[in-house]
Amino acid sequence: MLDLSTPRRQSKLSILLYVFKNIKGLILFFLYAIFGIGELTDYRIVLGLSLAFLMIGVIAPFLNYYYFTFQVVGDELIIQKGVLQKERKAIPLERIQSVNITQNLVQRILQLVAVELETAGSKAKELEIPGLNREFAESFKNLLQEHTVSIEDVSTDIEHPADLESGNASAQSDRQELLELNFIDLLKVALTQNHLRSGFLALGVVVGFWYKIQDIVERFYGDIFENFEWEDAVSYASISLIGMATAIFIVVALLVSLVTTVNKYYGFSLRKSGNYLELEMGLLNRREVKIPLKKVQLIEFKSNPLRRLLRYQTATIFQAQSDGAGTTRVEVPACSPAIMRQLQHIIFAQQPSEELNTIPSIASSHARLRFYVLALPILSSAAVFVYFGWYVPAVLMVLVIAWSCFNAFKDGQRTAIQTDNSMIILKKGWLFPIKVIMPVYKMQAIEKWRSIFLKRRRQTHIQLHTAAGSRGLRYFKEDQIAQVYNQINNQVITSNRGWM
Amino acid sequence: MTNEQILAAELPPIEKSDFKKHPRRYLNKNLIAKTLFFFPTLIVLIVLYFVLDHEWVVWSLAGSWIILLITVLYSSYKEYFVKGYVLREQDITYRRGWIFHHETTVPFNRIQHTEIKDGPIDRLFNLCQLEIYTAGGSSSDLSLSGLDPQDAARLKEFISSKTATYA
Repeated sequence: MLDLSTPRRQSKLSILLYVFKNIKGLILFFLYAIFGIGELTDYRIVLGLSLAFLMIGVIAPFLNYYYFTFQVVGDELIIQKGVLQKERKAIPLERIQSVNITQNLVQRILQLVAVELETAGSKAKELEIPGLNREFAESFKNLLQEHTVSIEDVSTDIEHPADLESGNASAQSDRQELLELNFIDLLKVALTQNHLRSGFLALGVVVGFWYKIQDIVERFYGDIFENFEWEDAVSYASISLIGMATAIFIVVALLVSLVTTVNKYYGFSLRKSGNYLELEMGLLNRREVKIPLKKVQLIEFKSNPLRRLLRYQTATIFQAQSDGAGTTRVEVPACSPAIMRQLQHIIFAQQPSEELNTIPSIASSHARLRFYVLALPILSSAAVFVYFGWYVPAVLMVLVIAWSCFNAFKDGQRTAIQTDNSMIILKKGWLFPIKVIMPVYKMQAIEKWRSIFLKRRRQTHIQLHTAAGSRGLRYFKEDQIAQVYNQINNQVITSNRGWM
Repeated sequence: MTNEQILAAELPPIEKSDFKKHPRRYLNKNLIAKTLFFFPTLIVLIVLYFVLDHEWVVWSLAGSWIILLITVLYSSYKEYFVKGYVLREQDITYRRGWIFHHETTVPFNRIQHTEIKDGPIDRLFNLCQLEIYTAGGSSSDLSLSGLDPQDAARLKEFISSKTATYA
């Protein structure tokens, strides 16, 4: 058993980790400094620079290592760090939501791992112990989690004895492999990514990088660019060039999708172990996530036309979060319908129920809103085209608005709230369907809202707030929403299960 | 001692309860605060009148200034009659907004903490603001502005006593 009653330091190799980290942060700065100064003939500048380099690159890591300690005192984990600005963090063990082990490239070379702790209130990376060796990290993780489990079990026994048989921290005996992705699966996931986003991501990186290195490049190759004008480049542009650019964009987008997907999900595995869901993934940066099932607030299933062809969806599992922290969610790509059912069953202990009470949305209202939003800009520009006698673009404009409204109508047809005794299911989207599943007792607040124009039509929107953010749907009949609103609220009031 | 069974379906719906309005001086405060907020832009307009040569620019700006002011004042006037809260045994419901009308219900067993705030203009009108916080993002937090300080203190006391029993 691990003894953490006295302050412990990280693995000694973590010094090297800090060295890498500091040098990485400095490289760009030094490049700028060198090019900015221009000549390195003055020995004082060289001396100053190398002294600074030595301080930050060599001495600081030793101090960082020396002053980073952690220990368990009573029911709290205490992390102390900082050389000049000291920091002391005390985290009550019962507040720890999940303990993740991550490993980036440098850490992998040094055979170290980082332990990340997540609480409902912390920002990303705030509670991180970056340099531990593998065995220590594993036993540390288990130690922390035993604490959380033992504290939770006390309350579990009182509140709902049904969980008692499965709940008794029988971590090792209750392992269940759910999903492992091989390379073909990864390829499928990559091909069904949002390629438009990948393409623009690549474009953004290129443009951003270009602005950074422009000065340096112009310094060396200035004369080549002297005669270069963007106007020339544009005036040479022709249809074939645009075609080429589009083709390059598509190829790059596909490649970026492929690379990012493989890097993110390589060696993906998902399993249930006791009361936890365990995930492992990543090629360069490995990530091991362990989520307590009780802390899961909602699951979201997303799909797109390509994925529907391959008959699978992407699931996202949300835990309680604070503002802007994106780490409290994990994605499970390539969920077949069987896995989807299994996930729902495991996380929410939900039996598939046939008696769902469905409230459909009013599809024509979705289309109407889309029309109002688009009508002014698109129809007025179409009118301008007609005025100048360009009929093809004018017709295109009208087609765009027609298609968009049709799309909105179809989306509206697919929008619905389904409830049964314990679950709320929100559905929306036609080409890009989304299905959100959340247990009623996890709701924190319910909201219905409408604009003044909907008052006359007796329609309203609904918004459900959970600790993992808000989900809402639009355009329902007021009386139906009032009923489900009261039903959910009253169920929350009478529920006394722990919801965070 | 009673311990009757409570069925969720038998609890009363919110629509049957009476919404309590904010004190009348909240309306005055809102109108005055909004007007004060618009004053610096009026000064900008007057400066522009003397600086710019094109008079029509200034006049059209002044016209839109007046229209904007009237819209803002009218909507906060209308909003006053829509705003209101209901405190029930187990939850609190707040209604707000005229153009975009919202109604939010937070059960006491999901409230993390409450807070009373007041600004200088609030204090002038003897008003204050009650903030009700839930866990997670800020989207489900309630902010009841324009309460009588004594009412707010009582509300806070009541809600705290209720949330404490669930903690």
